[in-house]
Amino acid sequence: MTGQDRNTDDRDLLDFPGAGRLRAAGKVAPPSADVVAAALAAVRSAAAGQADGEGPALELEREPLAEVVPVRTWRRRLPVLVSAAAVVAVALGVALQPWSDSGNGHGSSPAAERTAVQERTGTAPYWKVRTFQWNRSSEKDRRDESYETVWLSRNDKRGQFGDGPVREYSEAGMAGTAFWIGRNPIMWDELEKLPTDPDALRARLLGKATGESAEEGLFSGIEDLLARSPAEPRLRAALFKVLTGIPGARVTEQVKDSTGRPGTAVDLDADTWRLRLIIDTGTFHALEMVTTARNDGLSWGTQKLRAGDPLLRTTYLSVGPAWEAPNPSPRR
Amino acid sequence: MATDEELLARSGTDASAFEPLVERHSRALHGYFARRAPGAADDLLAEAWLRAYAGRGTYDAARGPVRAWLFGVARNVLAAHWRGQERPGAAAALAGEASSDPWHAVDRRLDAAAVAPLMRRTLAELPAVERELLLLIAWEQLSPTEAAAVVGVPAGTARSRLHRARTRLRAALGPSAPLSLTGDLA
Repeated sequence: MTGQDRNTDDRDLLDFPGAGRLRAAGKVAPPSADVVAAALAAVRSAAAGQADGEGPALELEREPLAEVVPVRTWRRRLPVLVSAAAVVAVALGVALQPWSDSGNGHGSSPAAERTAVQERTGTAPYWKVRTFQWNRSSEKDRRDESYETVWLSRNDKRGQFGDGPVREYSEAGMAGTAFWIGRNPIMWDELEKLPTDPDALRARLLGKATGESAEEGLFSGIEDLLARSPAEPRLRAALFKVLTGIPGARVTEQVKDSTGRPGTAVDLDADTWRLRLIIDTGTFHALEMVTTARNDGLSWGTQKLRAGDPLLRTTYLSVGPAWEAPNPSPRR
Repeated sequence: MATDEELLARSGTDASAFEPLVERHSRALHGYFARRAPGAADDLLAEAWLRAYAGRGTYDAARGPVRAWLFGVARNVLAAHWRGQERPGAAAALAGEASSDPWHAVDRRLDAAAVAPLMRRTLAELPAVERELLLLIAWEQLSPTEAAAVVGVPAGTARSRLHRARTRLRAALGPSAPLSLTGDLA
């Protein structure tokens, strides 16, 4: 068991009413000896075929990373949805950690700034996201917090928890990096094809999903896209519009995240909790996502929560293009 | 006794080293298929082992233990199975959904096991990734990190989503939930 598992173990995760029945529902009869023997015979047959020079019987659907396709450049015309100053801030922000300078003036001209950013980001193969995560522990005296760095590319994701080893995050069943809107995957390659008209974008992101959970999925999915994808400024602006247009979403300007960075909060009530995404509206990058108790009385382990008590908090410490990612660590 | 990783490494030059893996993990992989595609579990098991054998050279220990890798292979096989089950023309109708989501088969299992309709409805409303993470832990007894690797999400993201899924389940099924509406809970 790894370090992060010690923070979030099975007991924590499966402590809801009915978890025992859910576990029991997974009980199945073991395969018969004949079934295992047939699988073994199939493998032996494949091995014999290989020994005879036939080559592998089957290819895996998902090949390991073969090449890294560059993050697409920002050479297209810049958005009209946001002000020119905001666009420049977006471009600068991605290169320089978006929130650190947002809202401040920059000495050079917008055109010069854009050129500089293109030179720095135009072929960066990775998107690097560093987060700090805090989860309310179900045990009062236990701390549950961690840092994580993730490198994403078109085909590949890898990450590092704290100072631990770098691990490859496989994408089983998916042909590349996906961002999920509820049950709807948006592939890395699709980002630049997404509509930037907010209504069309909302329809594309939601697909056929409807109802309150679909809106919550849309909210979380937009968080994912704003926080972890190399979306262009125009798309980011459209995503922000879709976010604030979610039924029930409330916008509060001039808030600060837990590190003191200024931003705009978008709140959405979902079941018994409240989701709050704080965004730097100069760059449309996510700063922080906080889940709080919506009402008094929510049970959390032995604790009774009060409205507003935080349950989860993900702070996006830095995000932007990266020219390289560390190789996965050998497993001992 | 040789570890899974040692056996898999050795199987590159000695195919017989792969066979103990089949014996060790067939029960777990068969269970994975039986819960999600009960009528095809036997065939899918053989298919998964063939794919694992063919792809054994691609195993990267940095991605996790062999057991988690095998579940990743099984997940691919299951996804291909469900894609093959789709009706012609269904792809367009399924736009907006992950077509390989085996939820309906899982839900039938939960129904047969008398899991409360309220829990089934709550599970159904979870994003597919959250539900899958939860079931990999509850049924396949993977650790959260292993489950994250199988599904292909960052470990931190998995933790947050699992917390959220649990919060939703606890909120929906807790003492204040309208349990009288539905079946009994464990």
